[in-house]
Amino acid sequence: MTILYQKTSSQYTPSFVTREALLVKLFLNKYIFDKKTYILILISFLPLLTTGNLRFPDFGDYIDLIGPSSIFSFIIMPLITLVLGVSAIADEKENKTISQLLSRPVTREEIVIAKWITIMLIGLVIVIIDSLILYFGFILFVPESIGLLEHLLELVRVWFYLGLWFSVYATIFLFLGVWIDKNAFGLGLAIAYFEAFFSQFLFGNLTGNSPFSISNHINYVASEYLLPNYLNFIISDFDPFTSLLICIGLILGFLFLGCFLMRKKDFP
Amino acid sequence: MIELEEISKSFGDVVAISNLSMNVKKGSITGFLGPNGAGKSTTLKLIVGEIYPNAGTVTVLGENPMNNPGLKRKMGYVSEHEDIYPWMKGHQFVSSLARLLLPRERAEAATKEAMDKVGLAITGKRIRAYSKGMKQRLKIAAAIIHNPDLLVLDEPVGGLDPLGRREMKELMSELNKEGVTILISSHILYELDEISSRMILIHRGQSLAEGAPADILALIDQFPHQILIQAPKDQLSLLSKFLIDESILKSLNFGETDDKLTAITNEPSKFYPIFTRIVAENNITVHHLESTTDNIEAIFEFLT
Repeated sequence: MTILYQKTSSQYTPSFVTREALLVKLFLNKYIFDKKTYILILISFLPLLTTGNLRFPDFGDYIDLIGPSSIFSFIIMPLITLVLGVSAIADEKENKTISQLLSRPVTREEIVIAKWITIMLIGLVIVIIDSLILYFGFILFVPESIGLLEHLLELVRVWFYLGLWFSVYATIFLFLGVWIDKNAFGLGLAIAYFEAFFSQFLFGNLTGNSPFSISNHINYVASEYLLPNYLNFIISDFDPFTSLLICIGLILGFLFLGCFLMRKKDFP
Repeated sequence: MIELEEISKSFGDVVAISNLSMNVKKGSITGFLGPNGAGKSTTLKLIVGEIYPNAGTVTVLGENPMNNPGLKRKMGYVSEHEDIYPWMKGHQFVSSLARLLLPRERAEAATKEAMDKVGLAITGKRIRAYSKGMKQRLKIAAAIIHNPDLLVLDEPVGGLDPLGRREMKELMSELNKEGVTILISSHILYELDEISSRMILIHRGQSLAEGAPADILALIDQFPHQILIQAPKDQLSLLSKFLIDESILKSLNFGETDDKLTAITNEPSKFYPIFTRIVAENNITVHHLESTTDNIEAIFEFLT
């Protein structure tokens, strides 16, 4: 038998960036062929059903469709973040493909980071498509509401808003997917709705918008830095920059926890 | 090459491995045998660093295998699961993983060679359309692509037909001649005796016997061996005729349905090579071949 490659082949060590890029490329393939990705895009048509009630529609109404207390924020965003976040590592565990990854020359932390980068990319693409579907839906179904090129800059700001939202929640759910072997999706759903409803209404009714709600901090940041002309969201006695730091802290903190847990975990 | 010292591993209340010690010598093909649930897969997962032991130490090529990318460059692992991405094309799967081990310019050539070695052609077919046997071959191709020093295989011939099993065993022997140390598990007692230079028997999470295949098989051969064969009716008749001619059977019982028969032999070490030869030479279709579990467990009970 001829050996085309030499024994020394095992000495080759790609750089960290190359390893991450190769893993991200491998994971991205999954989402392209996964039905869930397309379902997450299709559900964004849902808020358009409510546009029939608008009397003098403008771009503000478009923001209302995706902003706080909207169908988008209560149904679509939790679903997108849950499906992509929880399933990131949980799917690999369930399908046993984690075994294939663990037997390669990459650390467990690198697998989590590559998964995180992948879901950030795919999540951002999905929320951009979803926001565009709504945008063009507005143009088509609500005549004279917004012009085609009129609010492009605001649209980019919307992407930052949704991107921040996705990053925070999806990272928390990715951690859940690493931590819990079964029913991570159910627990994630409970957390998402507890967070969205209870922490807002339970703590917020007495004191205004509650600082105990993550979505409140995201809305506060968006209201202050991204869409100040369209959103008016305040957490009393709280600095918006602190809210931004909380969001970034949550992303980095849960990513670190995900990596830490992955390192300690058994994959029987 | 591999050294396990007083390893114990539990999952909740279930004790999978209890105080297990074993070692795999460099350059050997070690058959790791035991009935289902004996702790084979758990032991292999400890060796490849997928799970942590509760007690004891695992040393592979002188290193701790947990989260050790450097060590993974020197070893290949084929798990018992279908741990492959079904939406990918076969060669795409192998080359994607190869890129983590080989530079771009060599990954493609190595992919082709590894697929050639396991008898898979590069086609545009997605993995979801592959048969179980083809998936198994693909996993082996992905495990040997970097020419590892150590290959750990968990029931690698499980999904293969008799001819495929023979080809795979030949491949293992060839890889071993090239210097690859191989640890290979099976729940079929006589699957590995032809290619193994050493055998380890495991039962209920504990090492039962370790040594040369001839010694181990002599121990096992004291017990009558029962094998279930499933094939189309006409093929089964043909097969039984050839098996009877070989005079290696104690009895031959046709099952409740006409596509099954049970062979009982006191010479199992001879039976499997002869069976494989008959099937290959006469192009007989066999759907299923299994050493009846109860019987294997009985043998292990008999040995304890």
